Amino acid sequence: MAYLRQRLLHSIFLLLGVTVFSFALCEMAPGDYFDEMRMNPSVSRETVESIRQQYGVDQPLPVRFGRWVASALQGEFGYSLSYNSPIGPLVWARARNTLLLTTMATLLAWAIAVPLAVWTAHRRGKWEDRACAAGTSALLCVPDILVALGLMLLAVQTGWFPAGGMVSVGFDDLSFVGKAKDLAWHLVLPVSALVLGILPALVRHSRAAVGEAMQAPFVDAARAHGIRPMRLMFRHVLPAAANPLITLFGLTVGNLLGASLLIEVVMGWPGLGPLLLEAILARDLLVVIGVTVFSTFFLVAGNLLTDSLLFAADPRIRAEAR
Amino acid sequence: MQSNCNSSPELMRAVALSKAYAQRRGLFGRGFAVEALCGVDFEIHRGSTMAIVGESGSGKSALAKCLAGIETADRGEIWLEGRNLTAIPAARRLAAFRAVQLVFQDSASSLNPGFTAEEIVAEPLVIERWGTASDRKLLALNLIEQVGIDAKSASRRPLEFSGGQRQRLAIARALALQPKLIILDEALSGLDLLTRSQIVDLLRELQAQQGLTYLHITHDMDLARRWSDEVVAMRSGRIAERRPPSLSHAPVLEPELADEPLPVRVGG
Repeated sequence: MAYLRQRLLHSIFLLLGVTVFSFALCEMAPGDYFDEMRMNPSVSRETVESIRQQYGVDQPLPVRFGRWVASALQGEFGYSLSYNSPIGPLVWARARNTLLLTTMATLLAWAIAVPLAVWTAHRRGKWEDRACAAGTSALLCVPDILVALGLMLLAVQTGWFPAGGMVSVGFDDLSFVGKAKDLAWHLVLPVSALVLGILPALVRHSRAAVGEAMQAPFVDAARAHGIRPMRLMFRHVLPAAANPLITLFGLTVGNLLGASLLIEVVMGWPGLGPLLLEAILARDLLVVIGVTVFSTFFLVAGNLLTDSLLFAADPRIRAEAR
Repeated sequence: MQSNCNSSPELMRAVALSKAYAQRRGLFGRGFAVEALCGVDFEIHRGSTMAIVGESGSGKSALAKCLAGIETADRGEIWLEGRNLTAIPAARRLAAFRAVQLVFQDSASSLNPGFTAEEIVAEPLVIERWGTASDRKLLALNLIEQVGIDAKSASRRPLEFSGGQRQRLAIARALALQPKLIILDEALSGLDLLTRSQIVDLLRELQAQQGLTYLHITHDMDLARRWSDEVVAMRSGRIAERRPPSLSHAPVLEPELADEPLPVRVGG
C-alpha cells in the first residue's frame, strides 16, 4: 500500500508541475487572444483594454494563476474567450470523445498484438514469424499521418466508411442500437489509423517478451512435468511476460493520446485534438492549458493504472514495497 | 565409490541419438544447422550416478533436454525400462517422459518467481491431476521438509530463499512425480563448496532411500570423479570417452575436452 501511496503522491506532484509549467510557457508565448482585435481598425484601443480588464487578462501572472487554480477546483478551469464558456465542461465533452477513440484503439491493438505475439513465438524462426517481423518493420517505417491519409483516400474512393466526423446527420433520431452502429461505423477509420500506428511496436515488444519467457528454465521444467500447452501459456509464460507488457501498456496510453490528437485533426474526430489546434490558432491560452492538464491527467492516470497492475502482477514488487 | 554400472539392471538406453538446431542469420539469411548431438549411444543403470563432462557447446545440455523429453531428437531412440519412448506419438510423449526429471543450473530462473515454494513443488502434481488440493498441499509440504527446508517457509517465493535452498526446492519439485532418473544439468555449479557438499549429501541420501538414478552434467571434473559411478566425456556432440571415475584423471581426459568448432552444415 505504501508503494501505491507513493505513486499517487508522485502523480499529484507531476500534475501540479505540468500545470505550473504549461501556465508559465503559455505566458512566455508571444501574442494573446486580443491581438487580432487590436489589428481591427473598427475596434478602439479602449474597448480592447476594457475587455481585457473584464476578463482579468491584465492582472499579473501569480494573480491569474491563483484565480485559475480556484476556478479549476470548481471544475471550470478558467473561461474560454473564443467559445465564451467555462473551459471544464468544454474540454470534458471533447475529452470523452478522445477517450472513446483511444480506449477502443488500445483494446483492439492489444487484442491483436498479444495473440499474434504468442502465435509467432510458437512458430519461432518459421516463415510466419519472419513474415510478421517483416510486416511490422515495414509498418514501423510508415508515418502515422500517411496511414491516416491512406485510410481517408480509401474512404473517399470506396465510400465504405464515413470520411470524417463522429456521427451521421439525424443521429438523434436513431434507436439505441442504431446509434451504436452509427458510432461504430464512424470509429472504424480513426481507430484503424491509431491501431496501425501503435501495432508494430506492440507486436515486436510482446513477441520479444513472450519469446523470452518461453525460453525461461522454469518453462522447460514445467514442460518436463508434461504440462498441457494452455496451462503452460496462462500459468507460466504470460505471467512471466506480463511485466514488460504492463510497462508497455502504460507507454501506449501516452503514445495513443499523442497520436490521437493528430488523427483527430486529420479525420475530423471531435476530440481534444481539433479543440487544441483551434485554441492555439486563436491564442485562447486557457483552453490550451485546460487541454494540456486534461491530457496529463489521462497520462498520469494511465501510469498509475500501470503501477497498480505491476504491483498486483509481480510479487517481487510487492516484496520490495514491504 | 562402489561402481553399480553393470551390477544393477539397465534403466535408460540412448541409441544413436542425433539433434541439430536450425539457425538463420538475419531476416533473409540462409539457414544452417548446428549439430548438437551426433549419434550418441549410452546406457545408465538403475541406482547409479553417471557424470557427463564436456566443454560448453559439446552437446551436454542438448542431451539432457532430449532425455527429459523437452526436445525431440532428430534421429535415434531413447529406451526407458525396456520401453521405446521415441516411438510414442508426440501428444503422449511428454507424459511418458515424466519418469525423467531435470534440475537446472540457475535455481533463480528455474523456479517460477511468481509462485510460492509450496506452489512450485505442487505444480507437477497439479499438472498430473494428482489427488485433491489438500492432498497435494500435504505432499508438497512433506517434500519441502524432505529436502531440508522448514515447511513454515512454504509460503515464501523463490527470491526470498538462498541459492542452496532454491536448489533444494528444485530437487523437491523434481521428486514430486516420483521420477526414476533425475538429470542434474550443472545443478551444483554456482553454489559455494559447503552448500554444494550439503546438496550432494542430500542427493546421496535420496538415492539410498528411493533408489534414484542420477545423470550429472557438469564442468567440474573433480566433482565428477568424486561423485559418480562412471564418467562420460562429450566432445562435439559425441561421446569421446567413458571410464570409471578412478581412471578419469585430469591429464588423460581433460586435454581432449578442448574446444573444437562445432560441425556446421550449410543449407537445410
